[in-house]
Amino acid sequence: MDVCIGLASLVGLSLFLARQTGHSPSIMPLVSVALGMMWFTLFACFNLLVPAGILWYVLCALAFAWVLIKEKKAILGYLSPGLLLFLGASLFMLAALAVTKPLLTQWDEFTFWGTAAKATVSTNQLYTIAQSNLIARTYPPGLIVFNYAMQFFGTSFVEYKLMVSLCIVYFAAFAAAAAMLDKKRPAAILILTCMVLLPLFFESGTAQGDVSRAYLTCYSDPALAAVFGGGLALYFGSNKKDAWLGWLLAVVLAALTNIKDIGLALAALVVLVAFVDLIVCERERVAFYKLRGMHAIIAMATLWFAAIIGAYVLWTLHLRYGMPQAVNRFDIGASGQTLSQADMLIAGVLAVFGINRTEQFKQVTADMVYALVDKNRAVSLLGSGIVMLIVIAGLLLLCWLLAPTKKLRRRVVAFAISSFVGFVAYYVFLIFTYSFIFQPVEASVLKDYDRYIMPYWQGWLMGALVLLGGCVAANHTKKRHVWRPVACRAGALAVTAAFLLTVGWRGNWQANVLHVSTTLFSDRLYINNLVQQAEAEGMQPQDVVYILSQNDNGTHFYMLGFVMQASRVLVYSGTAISATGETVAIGNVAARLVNPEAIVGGNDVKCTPEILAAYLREQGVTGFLIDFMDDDFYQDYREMFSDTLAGWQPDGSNTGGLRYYQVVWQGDTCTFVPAQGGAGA
Amino acid sequence: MNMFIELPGGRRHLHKKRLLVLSIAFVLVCYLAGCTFILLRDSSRIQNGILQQKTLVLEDFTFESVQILESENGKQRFVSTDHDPQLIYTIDGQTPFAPGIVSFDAQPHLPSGEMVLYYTTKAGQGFSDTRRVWAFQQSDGSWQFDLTGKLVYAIRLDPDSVQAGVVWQVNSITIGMQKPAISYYLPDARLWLVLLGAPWLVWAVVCEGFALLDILLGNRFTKPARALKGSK
Repeated sequence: MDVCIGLASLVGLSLFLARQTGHSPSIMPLVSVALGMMWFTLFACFNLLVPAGILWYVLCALAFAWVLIKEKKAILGYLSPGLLLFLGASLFMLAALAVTKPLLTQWDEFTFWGTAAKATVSTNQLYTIAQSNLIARTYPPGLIVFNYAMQFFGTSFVEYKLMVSLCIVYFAAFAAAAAMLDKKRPAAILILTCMVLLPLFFESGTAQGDVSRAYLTCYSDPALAAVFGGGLALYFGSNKKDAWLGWLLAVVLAALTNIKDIGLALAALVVLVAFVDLIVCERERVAFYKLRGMHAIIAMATLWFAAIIGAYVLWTLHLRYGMPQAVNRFDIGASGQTLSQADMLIAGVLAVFGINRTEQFKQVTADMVYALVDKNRAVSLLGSGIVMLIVIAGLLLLCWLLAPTKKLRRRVVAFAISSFVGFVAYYVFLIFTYSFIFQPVEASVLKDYDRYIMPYWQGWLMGALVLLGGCVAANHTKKRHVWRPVACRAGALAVTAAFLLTVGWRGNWQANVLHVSTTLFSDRLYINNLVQQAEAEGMQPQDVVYILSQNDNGTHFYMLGFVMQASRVLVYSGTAISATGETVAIGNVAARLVNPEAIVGGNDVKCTPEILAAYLREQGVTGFLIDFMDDDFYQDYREMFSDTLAGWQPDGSNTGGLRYYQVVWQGDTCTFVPAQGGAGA
Repeated sequence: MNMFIELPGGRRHLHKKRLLVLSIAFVLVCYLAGCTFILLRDSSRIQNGILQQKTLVLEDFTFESVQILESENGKQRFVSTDHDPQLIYTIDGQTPFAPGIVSFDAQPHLPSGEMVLYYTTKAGQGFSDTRRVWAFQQSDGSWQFDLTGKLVYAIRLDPDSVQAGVVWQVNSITIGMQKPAISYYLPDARLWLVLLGAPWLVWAVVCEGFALLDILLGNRFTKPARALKGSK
């Protein structure tokens, strides 16, 4: 229900904007979503999420009511194919996921995306400020606050609604692709069909027959891809290059910057493409208030850059001054943290010109170039980057052949060149991050290469498809060049058919967003049960919990952190990744805390009950949760439990033993006793 | 139903609204025909004995990473020797059978993982990730795999778990269960997508295809070629 109200607010705002600006209603869902993201981000930075929500919904309701009163029945004329797709597809996804209720399963959904969204919704505070066990708190908030907006009227955080929120972002962006075809509905349907298949088409990390997470994942990359492509679609799809276009695109670019750090680069590349296109094709038509020609173009580009920088600065200032522990955004790297972002750019540019080339830079550059043709590095269902390059080049060539006017042909050429330059720039930027920010271990395998490069491929393909739509839109039946309208229609039909066949045959349909089996979430269901059991045994929200989860690689630690939320998950005993990339079994509780260097060195660290007790005291731990224990633990630590682990077997398996114990101190003696008021007391 | 709107001057337009209604009807008819076909085929398979409800015991299977334990309380038990135990069932490898709905009613002593069933569609074919279905757990705790309409030569049950040494107590394993007739017609999310999305796509394809043909044939449908010349 809450998501329906959220959708209604977006549709209302879209209709209002379409009426006021005179631009196509198809681009307005994207603008509305972007406005929502920025609106909630702005308020959230000052810890005003609830007022932001109330104001947002009041204003949207007023806008909706106003446009209904003014337009009455004529409002039906605003229901363009794009807007209808946005509404219909979002509702379909909401209904489909409400039935199957999928759960989060992927690593980063627990380390950040899901956990941050849950913290924000359940405390009505941004995750940077909210009290929670979230460790990484510095990622930009666009998607998280948008999910907050969609769940504003909900009573508690719901996982599948987070997925639906992201779907709404994708569909809003896809809708923009049909902006030029508002009057040509059949062709619009063909282009939109291609659009909604994109997330499946670009799901590269999975082999054929795997479980598909397209439309289910809560990672930010698909949203990044959609909004990047949506920005291009918005620019090309706007029928007038006027001041409104400047503002509408500015909002979308700010939102793109605010989704993830790399969004800044993508937003800048949208500006590049738009800027080149304005110069090459629109110099006579462009108007920015009283400015015309080059002046107007420069003013627009300045506005766009200002929006991007504004969004970036807003979050930077929030991290610096709005958080309890100030963070300098320029010091944050990726996992390796070897260089700050600014230093990375300088070092990277120098390295391109041959100064101070590190071994890692040379290796990464060679690997990245090879990755374009490497069969094992598929970026889409069709294969590696080179295939995508050929597909996009082919599409653009088709557009060039089909374009009925000189202007449109110029536009296609300008887009081909500027988007290719953009691709090279983005690729070089990725080389920099792998060379100077990632740890050598991760850089040597180009960790998550396909996921990082995917947003550009998808956005690029979206841009090419939008231009194809543009060719169809511009073609009228004339006696001369009769082949062109024919070829246009045939082209659009063929491209759609190719998409459908590729995704239909090669895509993963056995288990995907439309067919979700609960057994895919067995790990999550186990964790949910564990937390329920611990709560029944007396775990309180304010407890500081130590998790015994031997042999865990961190998955259960982060999952528990996500599920438990209110209590602070503190520490755990699992395995560690050594500097050489091997998984090292710790074997002993708290070893990694006592002497982490020893683990990395592969040495066996002997932890004793005394060391564990001292550590628990130091950290102020009040509760002890047993996820998984081995026989060594049972032997060495059994005496610390007041019930000597009754119900647990010497091999560490559980046959009715308690999962949760309270940490009790008598002088220096630490004892784990069944929690008071719990099932075990 | 006239699919054209007649305009003054002998010109005609395609009646797109009527065409949309026709598209919806077309998709609906295709859907119902498809469901009926599968239903009828299953009934004929029942008569031929290809689709047959059978309760299997562990002796009917061959195993991988599985050790049979002694029965307890009259229930068969087995233990996994790694995280990927496999129970394979086939008649003789050469005879096809329709597995219908496969039900795996068993109790693990530790939490289970993904519950997957692989199948082969040709004699002598190996198991592959592209031919498998995931289970849906029922309210009674049993797992059901829906293979309705499929004809297979072997099935492989994979009750995964995080670790080895999971003891399974088997209540019953059944194959060849048939859905009630009405269930053949109830769409799942995938079919809902087809029902809701396909009419639009069919409509778009027909509209564009028609326009294409029309231009190719010198506007034969929308505007008679003679009238066009005469008007100039």
